[in-house]
Amino acid sequence: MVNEPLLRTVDLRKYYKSAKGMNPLAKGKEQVVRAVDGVSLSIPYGKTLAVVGESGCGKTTLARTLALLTPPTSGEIHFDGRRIAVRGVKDDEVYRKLQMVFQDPDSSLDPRMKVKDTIAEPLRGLTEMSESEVRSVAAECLTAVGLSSDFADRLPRQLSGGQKQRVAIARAIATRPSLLILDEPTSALDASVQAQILNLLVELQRKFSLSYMLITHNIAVAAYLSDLMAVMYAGNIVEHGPSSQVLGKPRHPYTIALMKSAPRPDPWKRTLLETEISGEVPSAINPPSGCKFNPRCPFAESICSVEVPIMRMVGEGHSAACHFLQKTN
Amino acid sequence: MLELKGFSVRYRTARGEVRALESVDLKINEKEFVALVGESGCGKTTLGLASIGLLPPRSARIASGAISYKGVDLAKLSPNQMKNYRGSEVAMIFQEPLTSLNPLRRIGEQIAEAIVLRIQKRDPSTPTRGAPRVPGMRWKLPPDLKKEVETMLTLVRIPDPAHIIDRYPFELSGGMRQRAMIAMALSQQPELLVADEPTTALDVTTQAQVLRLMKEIKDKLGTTIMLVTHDLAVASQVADRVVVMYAGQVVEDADVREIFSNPKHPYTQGLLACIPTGTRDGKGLTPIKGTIPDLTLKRELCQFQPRCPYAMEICSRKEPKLKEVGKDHRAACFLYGE
Repeated sequence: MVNEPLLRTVDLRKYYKSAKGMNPLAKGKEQVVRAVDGVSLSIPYGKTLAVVGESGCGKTTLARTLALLTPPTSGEIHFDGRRIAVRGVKDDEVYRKLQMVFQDPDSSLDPRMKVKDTIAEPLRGLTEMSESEVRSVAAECLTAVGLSSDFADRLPRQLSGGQKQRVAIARAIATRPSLLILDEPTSALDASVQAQILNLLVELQRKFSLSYMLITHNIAVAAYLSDLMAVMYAGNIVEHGPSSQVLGKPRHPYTIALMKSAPRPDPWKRTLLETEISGEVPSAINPPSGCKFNPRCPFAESICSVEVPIMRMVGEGHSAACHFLQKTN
Repeated sequence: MLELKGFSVRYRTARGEVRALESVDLKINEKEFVALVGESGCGKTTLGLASIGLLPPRSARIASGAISYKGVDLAKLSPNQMKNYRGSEVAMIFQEPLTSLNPLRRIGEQIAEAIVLRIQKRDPSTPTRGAPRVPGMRWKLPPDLKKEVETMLTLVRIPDPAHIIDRYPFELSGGMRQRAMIAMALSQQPELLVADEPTTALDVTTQAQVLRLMKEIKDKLGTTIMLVTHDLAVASQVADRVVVMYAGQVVEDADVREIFSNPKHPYTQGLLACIPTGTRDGKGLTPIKGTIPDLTLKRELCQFQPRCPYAMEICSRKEPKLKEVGKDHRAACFLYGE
């Protein structure tokens, strides 16, 4: 199919059971954490999808499920034209083509492994390359992320935060993946270093025609890198569309609140002080009934606590899940 | 209100002395909302700690200069006077409320303690009161104290305060904990509130609520606020004045709008250029090249010189001093004369 995107999910769910037996103080029934609760999205070839939302909204679980680090509870994942994450099927090919960069390089890099071995690790584990090929590819990757060959023999503790994140990116691109899942790639970094990493990500995307799925809570970073944007709240996608539209004319009340709360460097437009949203992201164990945003929503009416709103089109490729979209028009 | 003059702080470390603060000159005026902005390691937290007399006594040393509050040198206060100063004059809120609240005591009890301390400071004969802590006994605050705690919790917009009083810190969400911390700090009725990255651990919508609350406190109670943050965008949204720090020094100090419309110091300009605005199809971001200097070394030059796009010959010979570059606008850079 011509229009088949690189990655597509259909009603993807990931539930965790809270371990009843582990905690002697926990009473009652086993509880289910609905971390990802029915997510359908797609990432076209060569594009960036940003998934934005606050902690506990399920964005990291979504990333981990897509990267096959944890099996989905239900739903489908289609990657590069075939269904993946099916029980009993070995997915080495998928691991090669789909790599992940984590938030904190301090915990995602092995502190005792030299930089060159860190980058070579996925090549040794997932490809049939000879040792000399592995070494030359690893060296290429090191150059691609802007580090000189002097870094090859260093250990993570001899690197700065930005350099560590570059090594993590080099490791992720080593197997020539088509999709990189970036989970908060710059939130542990200082502003000036964040700018360097963002520039690097743009450069790599152009050079290797990569697709990105960017997980972030930073709207400015999402706006900068993405073509498409999905806003997640309590395990669901509440708004989805081209970034320019979602940012320019957000329609879901949560998206509107999120955009206003995100601090923008503009002392003349203090939107942050105008926001009216109260409360916090609900628990994924016992979410509110109906629309999960209804207790915090300024537009909520009685239907909102009863019926789950479906995604409705509000523009070209732009949809939102709200009962009262006319109020945000 | 708070004044630093040639204030330098050194930390003793295994690698030698770290120059955490180097001849800082700074004034915080009454009823001002000042943001101290800079990247990690620039000394902003040290400055915050110094202003409440909480520098780690073993490792930190004031090498020169003084920090004074309403004309009184903080270094000359006796331990008892310091105790009085903390709380009744200045209070601090920290980045991670879970580590600064006592995990074994209920929220209400912790706030009540602060209230009793305040009353005792004005009238030392007041007995220490609080909840009786006898094992197995039902936890209960005296009614008048309980009412005051509730007022404080309402002030910081905690919903259902009567219920929150009985909770332990671990039972609250991050935003609620930070609000409880603010309530505790405010219940001493301080004139200056020092907030060290109070919203960094919080989500954006919660961050907005806490920042809005701080702004309200400043407007309603007239509390002076010193906000330490790494985020220029946060500073732009709430502060009246922005102080930019680099490598232990103040490099620029101006009204918030002035900083954003007319930044003078190349570091400030660099920081602003790093904030992603627009999309990647634009002209791209201009990161500041290089890394922060090693603060253990002695220095006789502009600290930013190795990373500065406008570095001149003089920058590697002399250290620039803060000077007026506009109305109420100071910057430390040779671009604006020696």
